[in-house]
Amino acid sequence: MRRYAKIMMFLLPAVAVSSLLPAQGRFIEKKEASLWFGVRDITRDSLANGANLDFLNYLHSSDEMAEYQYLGLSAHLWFRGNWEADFKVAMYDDFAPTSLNIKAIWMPYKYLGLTAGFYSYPQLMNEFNMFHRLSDEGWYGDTDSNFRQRRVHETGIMAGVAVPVSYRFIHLNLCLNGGISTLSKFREKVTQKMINGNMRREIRYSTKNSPALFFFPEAELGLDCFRIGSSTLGVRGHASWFTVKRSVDYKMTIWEWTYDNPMQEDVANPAHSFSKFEFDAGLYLTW
Amino acid sequence: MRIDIRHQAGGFAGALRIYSGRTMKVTLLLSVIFILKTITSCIDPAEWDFELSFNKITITNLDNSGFYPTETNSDIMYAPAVAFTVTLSDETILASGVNRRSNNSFTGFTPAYAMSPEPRYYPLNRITGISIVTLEAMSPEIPAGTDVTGLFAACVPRFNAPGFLYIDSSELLSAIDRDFYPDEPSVTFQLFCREEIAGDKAQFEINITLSDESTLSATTNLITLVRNE
Repeated sequence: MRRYAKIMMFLLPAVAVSSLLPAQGRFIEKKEASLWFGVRDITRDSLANGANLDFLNYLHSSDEMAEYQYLGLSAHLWFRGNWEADFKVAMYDDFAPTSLNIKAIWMPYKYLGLTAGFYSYPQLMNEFNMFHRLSDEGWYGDTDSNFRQRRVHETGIMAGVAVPVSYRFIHLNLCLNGGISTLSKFREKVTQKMINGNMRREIRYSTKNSPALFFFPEAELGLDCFRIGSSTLGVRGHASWFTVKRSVDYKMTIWEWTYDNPMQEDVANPAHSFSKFEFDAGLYLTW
Repeated sequence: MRIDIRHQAGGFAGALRIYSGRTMKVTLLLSVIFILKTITSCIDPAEWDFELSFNKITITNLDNSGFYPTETNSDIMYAPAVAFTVTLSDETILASGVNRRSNNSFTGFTPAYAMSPEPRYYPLNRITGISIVTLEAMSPEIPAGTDVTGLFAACVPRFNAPGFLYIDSSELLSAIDRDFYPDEPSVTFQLFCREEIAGDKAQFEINITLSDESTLSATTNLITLVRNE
């Protein structure tokens, strides 16, 4: 995922600085590059602990307005023949360009188009070992005393409709996207020891694919502010909402005392509702 | 005037020749010292190989009620946490000590070694068997005098590290019987009882058989068992 994101990081500036061809018959008719800062707010349900660990109960979510902040770059290209492409890349404070929103747009009508694209973003899963610390009485629930945290990526493909509206210096673009996505698979290990006892056990989790349908509407508003030659500088705002309902199932393997004779179990967890709201604002340059 | 210059030039060349000759000699001498020093600093790894003969067995109680086992002098243990450390060693070597560094160092410089190999102890008598016998009844089904080796899990901290869990007692022999023992003329392993003992006392006899047909035996202290409330 990071590799694709890095390719995008090179692609965006390359597109931005590509030579300006003569207006007549040029392949790219118009270009836009943007820089923005955004916030991401996560809302998820937390189900009561059952017999098994449910990783989705531990996706990072808090009462704060926004769990994540990010810096983003984007490019929008208008091609000859009613085709458009939109590339958005965002990064957290680690400056790894891991959030991607890439769309191809076909505009058969002036105010209606069809979109198809790829969407991916990372989020944190924190302290999933708390399940064992709380549930497994008589045991040291997890002998790993570190803060248990891992990053998971939601990755999917999507399609939808786009409704662009422009009036003088105001540009509004609405997109209604839907698609199918999955949470990246991962492996985790929890080691336990009986309190006042010799028994030790090790539990290993290996999650499975978790495909689910998602709905992802977006609205983008741009206001042209200055015109310098053939270029236009403006401010932009973008808001989106993402909702999905999914479960994360896994294979659980338990060893007791020694690494001989493991017990294996396929665990199916209940589906969780999950949504995120994003808002970002910044500047754009069109030429 | 020309003669003077030539005379001065000749004197300077001579002084330079004398000076460079002295420098050469000093450099040569230092080089010889350095080479000698290097040679005497070399270590023959074979000199760090020793023979050992297991002739002592020591048992220490382990407190395994917490996260990690720690050695303890207490004879009170939780019934599900009965555990011991067993050490097999060569008392003779341990008592006499081993001269671990060559003494033929050349005076003048602090000896600097390119490497400090660990001593290796080759056993004259290999470990061929382990058995644990309970001296107290562990339950109605396990009376005193029963061989309970299979009821123990083990850990050999220096030689096997498969992960967080223990090894089975059947794997213990292959873990502790080694061609040589690095660093110390001894081998230590931990035994953890997998059975919660029903009675309120526990005592075990641990027997180690060796390739020279001798047996090392030791008995644990009489352990008083307490239960989780």
